[in-house]
Amino acid sequence: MTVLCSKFVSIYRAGLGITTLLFFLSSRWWFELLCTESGFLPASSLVRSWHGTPGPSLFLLFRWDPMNQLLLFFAVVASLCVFLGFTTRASATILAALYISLLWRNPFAWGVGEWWLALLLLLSPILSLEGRWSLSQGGEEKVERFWAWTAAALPFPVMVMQFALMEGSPSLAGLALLPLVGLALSRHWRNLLMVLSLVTMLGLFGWGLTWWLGFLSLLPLLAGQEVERPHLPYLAGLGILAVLSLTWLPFRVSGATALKKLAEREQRASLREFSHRVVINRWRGRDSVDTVETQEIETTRPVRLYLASLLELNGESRLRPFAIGFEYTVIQDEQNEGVIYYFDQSGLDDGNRRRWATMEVPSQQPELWDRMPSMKRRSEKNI
Amino acid sequence: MARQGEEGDANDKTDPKYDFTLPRHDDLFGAVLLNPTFKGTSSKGEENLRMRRALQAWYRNIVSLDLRSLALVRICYGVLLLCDLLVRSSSLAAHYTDAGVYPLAEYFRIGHSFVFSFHALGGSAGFVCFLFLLHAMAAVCLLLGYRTQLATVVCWVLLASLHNRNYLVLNGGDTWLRSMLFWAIFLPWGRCWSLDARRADSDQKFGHCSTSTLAFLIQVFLVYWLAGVFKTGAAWWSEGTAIFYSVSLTEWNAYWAYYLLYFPKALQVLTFVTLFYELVMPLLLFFPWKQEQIRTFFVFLTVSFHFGLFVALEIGIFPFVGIATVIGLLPGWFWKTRAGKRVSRFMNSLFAKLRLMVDREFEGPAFRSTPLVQTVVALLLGYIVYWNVATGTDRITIAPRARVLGYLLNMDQYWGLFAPEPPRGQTWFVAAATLSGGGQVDLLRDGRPLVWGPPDSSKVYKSQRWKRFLVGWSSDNGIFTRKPFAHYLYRRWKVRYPDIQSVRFYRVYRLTNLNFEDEPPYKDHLLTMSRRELEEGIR
Repeated sequence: MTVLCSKFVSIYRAGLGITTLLFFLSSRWWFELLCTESGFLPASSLVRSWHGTPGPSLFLLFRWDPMNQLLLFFAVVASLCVFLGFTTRASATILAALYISLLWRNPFAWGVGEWWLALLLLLSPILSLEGRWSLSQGGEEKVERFWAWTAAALPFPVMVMQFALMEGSPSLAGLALLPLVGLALSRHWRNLLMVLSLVTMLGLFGWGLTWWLGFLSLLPLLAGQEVERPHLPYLAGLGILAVLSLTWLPFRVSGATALKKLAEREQRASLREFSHRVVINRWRGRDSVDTVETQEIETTRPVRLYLASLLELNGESRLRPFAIGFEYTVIQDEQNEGVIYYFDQSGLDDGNRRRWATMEVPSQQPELWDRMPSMKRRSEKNI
Repeated sequence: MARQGEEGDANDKTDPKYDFTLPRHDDLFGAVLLNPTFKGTSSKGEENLRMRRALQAWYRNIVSLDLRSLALVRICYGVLLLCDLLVRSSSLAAHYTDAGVYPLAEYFRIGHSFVFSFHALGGSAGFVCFLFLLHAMAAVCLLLGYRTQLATVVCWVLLASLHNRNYLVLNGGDTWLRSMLFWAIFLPWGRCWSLDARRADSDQKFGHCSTSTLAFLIQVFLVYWLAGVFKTGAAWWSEGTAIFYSVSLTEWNAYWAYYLLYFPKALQVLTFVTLFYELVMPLLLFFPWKQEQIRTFFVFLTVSFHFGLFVALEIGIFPFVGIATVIGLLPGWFWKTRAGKRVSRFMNSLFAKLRLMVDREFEGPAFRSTPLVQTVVALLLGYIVYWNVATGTDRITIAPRARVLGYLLNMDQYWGLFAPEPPRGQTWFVAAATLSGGGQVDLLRDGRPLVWGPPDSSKVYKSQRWKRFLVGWSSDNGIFTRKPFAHYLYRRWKVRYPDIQSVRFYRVYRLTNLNFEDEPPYKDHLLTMSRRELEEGIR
């Protein structure tokens, strides 16, 4: 079994809590645009563009925005509970479910960091995170270190990320196994290997959310005092599992490639940070191109990533649903208007503005309340 | 516990009508509306007091339900849910996945915003299968009374979710089951004949009176009474032909029910009896005298009525829900009769054995109900009554914003069963596929050569859900599923008929003639799909 230092584990728990809390609080700037029915990507567009749902997302349960905002509120409360260590296991489960649901609600808007955090949250319900400094622990006896089978899962998120991003250079990919090797060593060697692993990641990811998560992932593996070495069969089992997961499991085929692409896209999106703006031009009448109004959308990180995804998907059949989502956003305020939307790409490529699509102007878009079905709808002709 | 029923009876020495063990706050209506707090000194005051007491006695007599009857309802619902899931799983991929007739893309485009569906969070058969298994497990827990309140909540949530995923396959029975399960969340139906109830409580009383039991009673009343009120057509009132037309319906009748058509006079009498039964009998639930005997009579009459429906019409789960639900109205008086004691003894011994098999020491969590919960139940009950009234008249409407609660809780209901009158004609469907050689086959009739006559419904439709779907599919309600259904059929028949060139869909309608003379059928063309469109759809 793996021996963990309860203080480091508690810091890890608080770190997870605060990271997700900040993530959810920052959603004020992008939630409505990216994850609601009135945003860029209504549920129907998501399903069409993804050819199904990316995963079971609780944010698809209702297609009524106030309910989704309520779910977001629950997520904030759950992350606060994890931070404070209050009913940690239940809170962590709820938090993981809601966080992953949010990611699946619009899978185009997230970078490696967000998916990594999802991986960490997914593991959190099976770990004992209440060791120290938690509200639930109360006046119970303080535990300095503890043994846990499930703690063996802790190195895996780091390994997965490192391996995925170093896939291009197999000689370096072995470095991904460092945290696992560290478990078999004494206190100082274990800490040293973790720091080494951290430095490797620093080189890989640079500063930002991913680096912070790399640091956070390795934190509970640090040893505050001398540790007993795990039994050989246990370590051998872990090693086999690691090799399988990194080389042979289907994850390697799809997941790693996807992560790598994601990281590259994220890098490109960050390059475009200052030259990138979305312009929505509204005009009256179908044939006229007289611009009435130009609206810029604030490009926060998720919005930028989402737009980068759109750019890369441009030309594919997937684009149209996005466009419909975009149109929906604008049309709902002012009816009988048309929209041309494009990225202003001055400073990029050939510097020309590229028009994505011109949509038909729909006739009167009915209000949400008017679209409500008849009271007899579901039971009409009951038998 | 083995002597639970009898011990309870032995303790019913005091009049059980007035003897309730639950705190008064459970019974909001009884406590608040009918509380005899007035202490008059004059003869008028005494009369008032007597009046109020009589009123309260009447109220408690009416509203109280027997825990043994509720336990039977719970067991029946558990079995019903399991059977329903089994039937639905035969068309799981067709009805609930992306490869079926209502893919998620259409669901999210058309389905309305205020209902929830966990089944719509994934379009794969594996995901839906997982939810079905979860649902079945909850139903087994409900049946056995294992963590009953939690199991009821899970059963209701998953049932509502399943219904919302594809409402085109639903009928009145589904709505009824869903509504009753909702009220049952607030009922202590796990207190008897369950794994939760480990110890036989020697002084246990079986009468239970609360706002939840009132809700249960009112819901049953609304179903029957409104079903009668909404029947305003001439076929029900002046002609007496409603049952004749109902039995003639190709899409609903059982195969042998055609023989009933040879007895038009009897069917006429049955029409009026049905109308009388639905309009008058539910009112007897509130009759002040001989309530227990009347209620027992009502239960047996209703069971017979539903049994009649079951043998004459193929309307799926509806008659079974009816039978299972009215059992809950069996009063304590019934359980003192010989038949009641026999059933009680059998159930006691059955659950005693079950408990030995599972875990002798297990004691489930106690049923929880607080004044706040009962207040919420009372408010919801008022809301549902108002909703039902609004469905019956144009003079009362519910504002769209106020309707959201009904949809969120899946308590939207309408009890117009065969109302205002049954269709006066038969409807059936044809999917005429043209093959490359020019031949035509009907994809809805096992791929046999095309004929336009009415099908033998019990042989053509896999289950009543399919019949219900086709009726919805051909109406305006289901217009968005027409193409997905065509794609589904094409995908299914492509292997056997790889040379399908096009498929044309028709709804065929023929007026039912009381003289048994065949009227010429009317073909309503619904959709034509070319091979290219079909191929694109399944890609």
